[in-house]
Amino acid sequence: MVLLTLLGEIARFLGFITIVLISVVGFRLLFYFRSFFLHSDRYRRRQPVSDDTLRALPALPFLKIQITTRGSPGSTEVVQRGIQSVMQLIAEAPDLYQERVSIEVLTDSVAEKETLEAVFRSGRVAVEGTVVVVPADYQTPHGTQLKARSLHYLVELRRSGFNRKPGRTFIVQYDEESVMRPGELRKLVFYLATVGKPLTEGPIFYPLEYCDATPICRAMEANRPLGCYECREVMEAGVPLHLHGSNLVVDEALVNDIGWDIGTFDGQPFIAEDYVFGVQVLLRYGPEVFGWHGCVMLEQPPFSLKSAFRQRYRWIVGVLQGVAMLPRMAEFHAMPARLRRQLIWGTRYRVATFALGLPTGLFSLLYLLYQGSLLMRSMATQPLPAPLMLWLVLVGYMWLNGLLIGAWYNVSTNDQLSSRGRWLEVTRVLSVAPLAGIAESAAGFWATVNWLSGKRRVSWVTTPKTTPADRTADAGRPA
Amino acid sequence: MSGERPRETVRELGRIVGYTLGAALILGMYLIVPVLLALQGQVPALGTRMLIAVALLVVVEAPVVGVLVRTTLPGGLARRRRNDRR
Repeated sequence: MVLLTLLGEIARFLGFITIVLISVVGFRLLFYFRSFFLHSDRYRRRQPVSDDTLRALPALPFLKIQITTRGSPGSTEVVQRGIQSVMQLIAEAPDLYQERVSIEVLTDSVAEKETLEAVFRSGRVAVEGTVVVVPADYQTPHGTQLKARSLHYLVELRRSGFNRKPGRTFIVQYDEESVMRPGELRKLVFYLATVGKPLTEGPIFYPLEYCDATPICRAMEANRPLGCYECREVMEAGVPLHLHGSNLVVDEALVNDIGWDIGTFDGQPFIAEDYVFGVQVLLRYGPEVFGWHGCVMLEQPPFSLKSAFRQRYRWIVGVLQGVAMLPRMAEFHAMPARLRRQLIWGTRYRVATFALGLPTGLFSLLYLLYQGSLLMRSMATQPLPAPLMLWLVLVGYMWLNGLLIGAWYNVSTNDQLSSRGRWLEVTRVLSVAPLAGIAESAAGFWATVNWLSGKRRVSWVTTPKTTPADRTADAGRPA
Repeated sequence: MSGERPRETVRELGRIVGYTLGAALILGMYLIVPVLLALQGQVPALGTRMLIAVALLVVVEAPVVGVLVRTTLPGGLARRRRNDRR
């Protein structure tokens, strides 16, 4: 009896800790769901746009689809997929798009250049496609490394007149695996011709190669589309607490002005160049240039837990680098204090919710098992006061629905899945939700712990884009 | 060879049932059980509490499904593919 009472007290204590942790995560979920319930009409563009609608517009901008790749194993195949989707759009109405859309691939690999140039030549209609190889000995003035180094190389070429087009020109940033279907590209052209804010983003779903990823990775990827509701909110507010590097559409004049020469952080390369770029745009141009185009890009989940862990680890370290960089910038101190606080504390809060997901997931699982045992033993005691229990239920509701929403967006854009297959995938995501939540936040937790304890070395291993590349990802890497 | 297809269908149905039960278990653990415990002072009968909890779940899921329907392209997936081909 004494033992049971003691266990009850421990569980109550666990319950209160869970409440504190869950509340930290829960308030962020409230922010997501405010955007989900109140502004869902702005999340994505639903109305199809026809070629005739575009023809009727007084002026259309020029679109440069820019695909940045390292040329690592497996990347060429997935880059081709994105290119073919753009070529499909151009082939549907060559009179409209041939003169207004070009594709620029930026790679570190000469072999990839040859393959992709053959792809450009093989199309049904002529497509303006260029493959630029970044010279191995290229250095930016500020010693920028990794992806930003390649991006800046292209900026320098453009500043000197490379592929210059008359009229307003937008760069549509793709990652290696990104695909935008013709219907979404048409909507993007329409948005840019009619609204055309200089720096915009849109949602990303993860249906490509979906079935090749492990079930845990599929569930981890279900967390992401709901996150784009937050992206929309921050982009429209003009405070880029989060900026993803793909499905990022930037006015060429703006990117030529800012460039990607972001330098290094204490000798380490920046690994969240997109976040740093967003902050630099905010500092120089203010919040008004940011917007949300709402056109969907498709990408693929990491195939293995190891790849997913590394990817999340990289994001968190990258954002922590960016936050630490801010106070060192003179322009930052010239900003209004409110905006400075929003940027610093908003980003720190985002990182904290990611990292605290690990203890939250573990504690709440233990606590729920205790609750279950109370119910099974028909004990007439409440582990916590009813309002607190209802708050826990509300956070659980938002968390599980976040996964349901993400899983649905991912599978509903996957053409290979039947209705039964979609049901199977959504229920599978929900079934492994607690494990996936713990795996997802473990990377953020570990990255934050390492960062706080001064271990700030970074490395850049791109997420493998095919299953064979994923299997051999560690071959040849130093132990 | 002819038995391959029905066997695959049976296997898929088995997986669907298994994962549906798994999803129901998770929803039960995170959403139903706490409501059952919170209501036990007001509603003593477990069956009635269960009905209330499930009904609540259905009610609060409806707006989520509504938004998902609105943000999945008009006319569902088939029409989206037609639009994309146009």
